[in-house]
Formats: sequence, structure tokens, C-alpha cells
Amino acid sequence: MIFGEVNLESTCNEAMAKNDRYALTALFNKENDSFLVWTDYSNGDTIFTITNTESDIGVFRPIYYALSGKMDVYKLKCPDGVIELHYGPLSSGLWEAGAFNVLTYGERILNITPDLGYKTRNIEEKVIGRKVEEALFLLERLCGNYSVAYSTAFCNAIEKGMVPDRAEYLRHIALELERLQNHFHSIQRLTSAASQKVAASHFSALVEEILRLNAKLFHHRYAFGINVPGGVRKDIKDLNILTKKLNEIEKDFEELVELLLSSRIFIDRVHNTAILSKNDVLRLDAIGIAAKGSGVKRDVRTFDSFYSDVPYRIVCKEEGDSLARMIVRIDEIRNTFEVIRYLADKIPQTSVRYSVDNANFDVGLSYGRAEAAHGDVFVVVEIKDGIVKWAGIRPASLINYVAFAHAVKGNIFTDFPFAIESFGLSFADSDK
Amino acid sequence: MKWLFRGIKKRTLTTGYPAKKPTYDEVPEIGLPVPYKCADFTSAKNSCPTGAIGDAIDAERCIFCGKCEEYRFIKSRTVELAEVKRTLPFSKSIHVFVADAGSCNACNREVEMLNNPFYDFHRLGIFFTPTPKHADVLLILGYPTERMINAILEAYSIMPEPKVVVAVGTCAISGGIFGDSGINAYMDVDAKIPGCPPPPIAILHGLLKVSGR
Repeated sequence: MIFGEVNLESTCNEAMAKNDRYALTALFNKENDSFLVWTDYSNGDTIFTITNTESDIGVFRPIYYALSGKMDVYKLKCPDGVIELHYGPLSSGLWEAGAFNVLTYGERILNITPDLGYKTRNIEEKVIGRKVEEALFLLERLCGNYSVAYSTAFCNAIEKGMVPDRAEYLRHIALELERLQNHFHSIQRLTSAASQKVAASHFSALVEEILRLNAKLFHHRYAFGINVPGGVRKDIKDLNILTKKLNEIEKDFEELVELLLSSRIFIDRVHNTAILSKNDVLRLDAIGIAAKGSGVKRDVRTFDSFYSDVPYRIVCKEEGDSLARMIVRIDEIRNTFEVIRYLADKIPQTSVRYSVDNANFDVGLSYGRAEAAHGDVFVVVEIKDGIVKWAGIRPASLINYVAFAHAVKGNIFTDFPFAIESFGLSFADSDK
Repeated sequence: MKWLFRGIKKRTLTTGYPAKKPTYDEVPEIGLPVPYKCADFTSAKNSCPTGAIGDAIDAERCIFCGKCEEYRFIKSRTVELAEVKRTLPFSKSIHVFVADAGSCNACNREVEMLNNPFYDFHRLGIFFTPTPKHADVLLILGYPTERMINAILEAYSIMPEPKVVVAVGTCAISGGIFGDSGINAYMDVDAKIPGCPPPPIAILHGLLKVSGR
């Protein structure tokens, strides 16, 4: 669990921006002040600095514009002979409501800017004035397929470690199952983009198997409502069903991966597609899968106290193309099977929920974070008498959309689905 | 060739639904909550985040969060909750246009899951179409946001007659936890498929009902 209090410092922002050790994680506007969040991903050092809107950190850290909602800065002027195209928002190719501004000569993508904000539900505003438990329900519905990551980050922020051990284990089992489900889904989308219908069906079946497992364990296919302040809602008596099913899925998965990686047609499509170099990752502050596919270890599990004994490993590939990101996913899936088995084996027999009085919840401004399948999510909350006073959420997709837009530049149109699916981005996530 | 053998080895995965009832694997206890012995109705009513609990449980407002399970309610296995006001005049084959109005992506995933070998909705003559001009059914997912509503109204206006609007998920039907009204504030809804998100079996049930089967 990663949590801490927010101590605002008035360090010079420009000096921070020039310091390579720190990645710009988030920008929040609270009443009249705004503050920036900087993270050192090697040791988890998190620094909060006050900023004024005049300062121009975007020169050093381009992600600043995305965080402050100025996506237009990344747009290019349309030169002669170039077509400007607005793709979306109701397009069947994306499966989601969202749009892209594309500049193209007709085949090659010259520049691309995501047009965010079609799905804005103002969750940050809606949680204000709600009870803590209800705020959790809203947060889970920010992005359904990463719901456990969001609720875990929120719980980490408000509980400050006051959670029974068994609840902590169950929570992370749900989180790891969610990671499995999203990785399978991402590979399925890649295969279906390459018209590998048989492989896509097999991987789609694996996603469904995980959802059914979730339904049996947590009584919800996407594990909504399992986290409550102070633990988890319900205990799971029998974890044998989990390990038994996982063994079956793992066997299936290994067979499928062997077949998939020997398919030259498929590998040719993802190889050298949408390359994101190591320098780009550092310059654009990319996180999660995007960073790991380019050889930068950015995973908040590195400094998560819960994971210190867990046999997890962070997988990195140097190439930075769609294939590298897919290989990272495959290796992470293999590792996740191990992690879940370890958690199911070592789970302690304690209660699953401290009886906390929700009405007396008092939390100063504090943060929590958790690693979702596509990157880490960051939540800052302030709670008074069990009512949320203020909340700030930084989804991983918001940051990685910029990395994706950079990576896809210069690729041809047919490479577009391979690029976007390898990052695992979601408009619901980035639009909040 | 190896793929083929693998496919044969896996045998049939597809559900027997709608000819048979859904099995426990397909639908465990994820459906509408029901009061159990000595259920504490008053406390459950007061704590329900969406006000779904009255004298009975309103499926159209329930977000399946599990809060009422603390007051001796349990989730049932009933997921076929679709309510249909108007059906299509043809039943053999229907084409569906999926319109995301601002969902959390869970409904999108469940609709997408209809395509997998477990549900294989093509066998029932249901197809997705990439354009509203070929569609008979407009499937609306999620809580409608300001920027999406015009696009959806436009998509509806260019659909050929006869056409039906199906709201999928609690957010689209009643606003759920986000607000007081869903898509019904902007257009007439012909069918509702409650759930948060509705599992694929529930969506299949709703679509079959819309086509009069």
C-alpha cells in the first residue's frame, strides 16, 4: 500500500523540471492554489510543489500541457497538401466515445492529438460532499475495467495502513486478477486488429474465464464494490476454486502464446510499429506499460510495502515497439499467475474489515496510489467528518495518450489499431 | 493447422442460452439483490446510494454495489431483467449500432464479450454494424454527457425505420449514481436492460426480447 500526506513545498519548479530523477506525475487545482506532484520511481520519493499558472514548465516537461487540459498545444498547423481529419466520436473502430485530430498526407500519420473530454462525467466534482463509501462507488465507475486499482488507491489514501492483513491480501488478489483480465484483453484486441480471428476468439475466451472467476469470488464480474474503507466487504472462504481455475487458464495461455509468437504474419504487424524510444519516455514522463516496453522501470509496486515479500518482478524490454509492449504483457501475465498463487497460499486468517465509523473519518490532504494494468493511478483526497471535501484524480491514460500520440507519428494508418491497443488506453479513464 | 486442432480440443464452449437456463458458471450470484431472512429494510433503504430500495428493489436504479448485503440482503441469480415496450416487427436478424454516451467502459466490455465463443451472438442472428444507417437497434451505454448527446441524437435520426432505442446499464436508464435521469431525458427509450454492468446473458436476453423472441 502506498500512501502519504501531502506536504506542499515551495521548491523552484524549474529546478525540479530539469532534474531527471523526478517524473512529473500530476497537476491539481485546489481552490486558489495549484500544485504539481513529482515522483522518483526508483525509491517512491513523492514531492508536492506549489505552482503558479504563469510558470512555463511545459517547455521542459511537455506533459504539463496535457495535465492542465491544454491538449491543443500538441496540435500542428496544417501544411499545404495535408488533410486534417477528425476521427470520432461515434466510431465503431474505437469501441468507445472519443476522438482524434489526425494530420495526414493520405497514408502516413503526420501528427495526431487525442480530443479528450467527450466522456467527461466530472467525477472529481461529484465526489465532493459525498460520504466516503459513496465516493468509492463513483470512483469505481470512473473506468470500469480498472475499478479495483482506483478503489484501492482511494482506500490507501484514507486508511493509512489501518486495514486487516487478510483484507489487504484479498484486495491485491482482485487487483492482480484485474491486471490479468486487461492484459488478455489487450492481446485479444491486437490479434483481432491483425484479423487473426481464431487467436482473438481464444484470448477473448480467456478474458471471459477471468470475468467468470471474478463473478464467483466477488459476486461482480468487474469486482465493483469489494473495497470499503477499512477492509473488504466480504470474505472469501474458499480460495481453492481460484487456484484451480488459474492453473487451467495458465495452461491454455502458455499453449496460445507459443502458437501466437510463431505466427510470422502477426509478429510482422506489431514489430517496429509505433516505436517509443527511451528518451521519449523520459521526456514525456510516460508510465506503466509504455515505459516498461521502452526499458524504463516505472511501476509503483517497486516501492509498495505490501509487495516486498511477494515474488513479483518488473519486466522491461528495450525495443519500445508494439511487440515489446506485448511481450511485457505476456511476461507480466506469467508473473501474475505466480503472484496470485503466492497470495492465495500465504493469506492470513484474520478478520477482513475493521469496524470504522464512517461518520468520524477525518483525513487531511493525503494521497494513495496503485498500479493498474496500464500504469499507476494517483488519488489525492481530503475528508472531514466522513464527507469528502476535495478530491483529485490522475488517471494513467491521460499521461500515456501523449506518449501514444508521439509513438504513432510517422506510422501508416493501418498501424493505428496496433499502436493504440498496445498501450491499453481508455477514454473513460482519461476523461474522468 | 495447430490452431484448428486446438479449437477442436477445446470442444464447444458456447452457452445453451436461450434454449437452456443459464448455468451457475455463466451466472453466479451477481443478479438483483433480494431480502433474506430478517432483512433490515429500513437501514438498507437509508443506506442505498441510489435510492433503489423501496417496498421492492428497483432494478432500474440498483447499481449492484453490495451495500445492502450488510443488512441481510443477498444477490440473486436473476439477471434477465430487461423490460421492453416496443419490439421490432422482424425477428430473424437484427443489426445493432453501439453508441457510447459516456460509460465507464464496463458496459462496453460486456457488449464486446457477446462476440466471444462463450456467447457467440451471431448464431442468434444478432450483428454489430459500424454505421447507424444499417442499424435496427441503437444500443446506448452509460450516463449521457453533454458532448455526446448531439452525436447520439444525430445517429438516431439517420437510422432507417423501424428502429428501437435500447438503454443498457443503470447509468443509461436512470443515471444511477451519477444523476437523476439517464438517456430518457433526451429521447424515448423503447427497451431497458438493467445491470451495472449487465452481464452478457442479460444483454442477450434483452436483444432477443427486442426482436420479439
